[in-house]
Order: sequence, then structure tokens, then C-alpha cells
Amino acid sequence: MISTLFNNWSRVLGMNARNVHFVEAHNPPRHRRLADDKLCGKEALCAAGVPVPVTLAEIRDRVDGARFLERAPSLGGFALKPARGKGGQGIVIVKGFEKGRFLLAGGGTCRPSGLEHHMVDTLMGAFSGGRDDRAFAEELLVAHPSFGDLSTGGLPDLRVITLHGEAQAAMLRTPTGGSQGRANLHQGGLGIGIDLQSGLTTGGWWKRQRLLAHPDTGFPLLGVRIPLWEELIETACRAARAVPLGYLGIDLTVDARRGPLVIELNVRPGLEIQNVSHAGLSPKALASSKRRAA
Amino acid sequence: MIFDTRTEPDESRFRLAFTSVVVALIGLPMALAAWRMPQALGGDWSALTLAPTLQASPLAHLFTDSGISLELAQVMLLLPLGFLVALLLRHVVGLETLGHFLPVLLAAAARQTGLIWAFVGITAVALFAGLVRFALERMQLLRLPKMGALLTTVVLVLLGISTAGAQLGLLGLSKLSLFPIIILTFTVERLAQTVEEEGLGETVRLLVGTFVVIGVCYGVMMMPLLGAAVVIFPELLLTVLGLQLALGRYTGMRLAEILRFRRLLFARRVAS
Repeated sequence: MISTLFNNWSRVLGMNARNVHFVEAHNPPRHRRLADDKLCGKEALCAAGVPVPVTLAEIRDRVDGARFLERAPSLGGFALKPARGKGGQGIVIVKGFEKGRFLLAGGGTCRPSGLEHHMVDTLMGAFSGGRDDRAFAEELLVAHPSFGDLSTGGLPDLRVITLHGEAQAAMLRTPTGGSQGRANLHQGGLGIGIDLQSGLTTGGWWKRQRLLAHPDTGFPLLGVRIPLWEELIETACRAARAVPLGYLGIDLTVDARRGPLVIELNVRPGLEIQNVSHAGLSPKALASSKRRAA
Repeated sequence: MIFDTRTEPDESRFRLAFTSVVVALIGLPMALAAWRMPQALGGDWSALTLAPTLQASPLAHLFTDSGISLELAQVMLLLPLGFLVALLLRHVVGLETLGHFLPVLLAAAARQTGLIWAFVGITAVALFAGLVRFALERMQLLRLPKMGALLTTVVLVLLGISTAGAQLGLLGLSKLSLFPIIILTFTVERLAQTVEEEGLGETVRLLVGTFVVIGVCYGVMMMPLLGAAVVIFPELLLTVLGLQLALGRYTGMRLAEILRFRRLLFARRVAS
């Protein structure tokens, strides 16, 4: 009785164990920049031939910023990001330009001076804990139509946990009606667990509850095949092998034109994926699943 | 406790060395203190809480002769201990706080003001400076000048409350000027960012965690026994150091995580 109660305790990974066994053990501090600085990471991934979103401009100082603002209206849409921002902080999505104002995702507008102020703030470290930072503009991605049933409110993203270049767990995160375009799980995003071998969904996790149907559409979340699964997981593993970091959370998305793209690498991937995929990620759990696969 | 269990060949050697260092750091200073006790206290622990014993200790003389007040020396020596308590609450219990050092610094300041007035002071500073930040945000200022303006506000609010407290005869309130001003400024900024990005619920959760940690740290740092012990037996700081190192390799589940992963932990069977 007691032993069945505590059966899973050694399989679940806690924050302390993650930091000691994985982050400190497999991600040498001198290489963490590749994940913490998105521009450095993109460079490394590009060099290894891993597909990433196209960088439209790199903004290192105010002069770069002013130059970018001159041509920004003609770009149509773009995403402006801080290189060292954490958890989606400081990202501005611009959908277009009309009557002297940028149209932002989510319905707001913004004058060019507002965007310039945001860029200067980014350069001075508003989103990187006070350290000088760079900003960059990326092409705007369009959600792949085959994900339409699983995602209602915008671009879904796939999180893959890798250990030494091999995938250990995966989940799809999608914005929902109530999450204002955000896919973050603690901000109302829906997490969908995925079985690595088959690429079939194993159910959803939304607002700390397990779900078997999409909260907005009622679409089933159990046993659905993820589109382009092999290609996605292969891209994630190639990205993991392109950098000298052993333990990573790799974020990918699928663009309508370009297919799977790696958006971000994380050296301290969150633990919530265990709840989403209903599977533990402790060293012991990973070792036993490896034995079973062999 | 569950420590690192990796099994690479030189790992076991490292573990042995690490454990020996930690055990030595924890044990030796305690042994030294116990050996010095008869001489320092006449073998009577209860004498520790008596002011004359504290005053008579040679180190206390050294401090006061060097122009360091006994109170200041005591707070300095208690800070690492308070931080150890905060560490336990974060890494073993799993509470989350605003800032790493804020709780222990405020707990130290609360030794002068009293816990209630400290909480009142924090709330007042957060509210005033928060309002000012809201106004500054609309002016679209650069980050550093904005932080400067916030710092000015925090100083003004603290001085205002302190002098008002003194005029009204509220002694605890008048000591508010001992608050860690710079850290508070950063905290106001963090707090405002948390409200903006994660919403009010998350902010309240962080604030509750912070207040609980301040309260517990305060309780520990106010214990007369500990306050006197660190001055008379400062070698005990090495014990604190050893415990901090040990916590650095603690890889067990945090109590809060048992709640967070309860569906996994108490499930019949979990895939892996």
C-alpha cells in the first residue's frame, strides 16, 4: 500500500534535482550564452543548417534602431525581440503599418517613437536584468493550417526536452480563447502531451487540470497525430546537437511556408511538462525509459 | 536528505571530499564552541541570554573598541544565519519570494522597527512608489533615469514615514530609515513588472511568500540565544557556511512541488 503510494516519487523531477543533475551537470556556464542570447543561438543553429526564422535586422545601438525604423513600415509585419529576454518578455509583434502607426498583435497601435523607445529600453537591459542587450527583428510567422484543430488563438509551439541530443519528452503549447495569444501554461495556454515514439497526443493540461477535449472547440486531445511529427522531432534533435549544451528545452513552431523552425533554446526548461505529458523526467525515469526503448 | 547520486567514476571521489568538507565545516566550529564554553560562560548555556555575559565577551570588547556597535556586529553576524533560514524556506519548502536578499535584509531591519511596522512600511513604500512608477511609465522614460526617480521616491517615502512616526511617538515607525533602500527600489520595479506581466494573482502569491519568509527570518534572528551565540562564538558562522554548502547539493523534492505534481506522485502508474 505504502510502496504503491510512493511508487512514482523517484520518477518525478523537482527543481533542486533539475538544477544539480541536469543544468549544472550538462550545461557548462561558458556555453549557456548560446541559449540565453537568441542571436548567438540563431548563429550557431544557422551554421549547423538548422532552420530558424529569418532575422530582418540586428539592432546593436540607437543608430541601428533609427535605420531599422526607416524601413520598418515597408516590411509588412515583423516580430521585435530582445536577444536576452526571458519567457517572452519584451517581444512586440507588429502586423502592419497604417496612417503613421504600427498595428500590433492583439489590436493596439503604436507610433514609431514608441517603438524606438521600446528598442532603446531593450538595449539598456530592461528585459535582461540590467545588462546591455541587443534587439532584433524577425520575420512574422504564420501558423501552419494543419494545426488549426489543436490551436485556436494563434501560433502553437512545440517544446522538446533533449538530453545529449536525444528527445526525452515533448508537448505542444497553444494559446486558447482566454489567453490573449500567449501559449505560456501559467497564462492560460493549453499544454498537450505527446508520445515521443508515435507522435500521438496523450491528452491536454489546462489551468492545472487534465483535459481530453479542447476547451474552445471540443476537439479531442487524445490519440491525435501531430502533423509533420518526424520532421519536427528530427529538427529538435539536430538543434540540440548543434550546441555544446547537454540538457535543453527546445521550442519549435511550424510556419505555413517554411515548415518546422527552431525559435528558442532554453538551458533551464520548466518542469510543468511532466504534468502535461503525465510522465516523470527524473534521471531514474529517463534511464528506465531508455532501457525499455533499447 | 537526498544528495547527488550520479555515478561517474570521479563522482564518488568528489562526493566523499565534498561530504567531508561539509561535515568538518558543520562539526568543528561546534566542537570549538563547546570547548570554549566553560571559559566564556562558566558552562551555563542559560547565561548566554544574559546581557552581562554578552558584554563581557572579549569579542564584544574588540567590536566596541573598534567603533562597531554591538548591535551592528550582531546584525552582521546574524545575516548569514537569516539567509540560511530563507534558503531552507525556498529550497526545501518551496516558497517563492521577491528578490533573493530582500526578505533577510528586511527581517534584519525589522529587528529595529518590529515586524508589524516593517510590514506597514513595505506596503506603504510599495504603494507610493508603485503609483509613481505608474506615472513614470506613461512618460516613456529610459530605464536608468526611471530607476533613479524610483530611488528618490523610496527615500522620500521612507524619510517621510520615519519623521512622521517620530512626531507621533511611534518609535518602531521612526526606525524605518534603516530599510535597505536600493534593494527596495529594485523590488518596487520587480513588483510592478510582475503585476504587468503575470497579473495580480501571481503578485499576491509572491508577496505572501515574501512576507512569510520575512516573518520566519525575523523570528529566528530575534532569538536572544542565537543573537548572543553568534557574538560570543562567531566560529559558528562556519557551521552556517557548511549547512549552506550542504543545501547547495540538496536535490530532494520541495514541499510545494509535492502539491504541484500531486497527480503524478500519487498516480497508480506513470509513464516515463
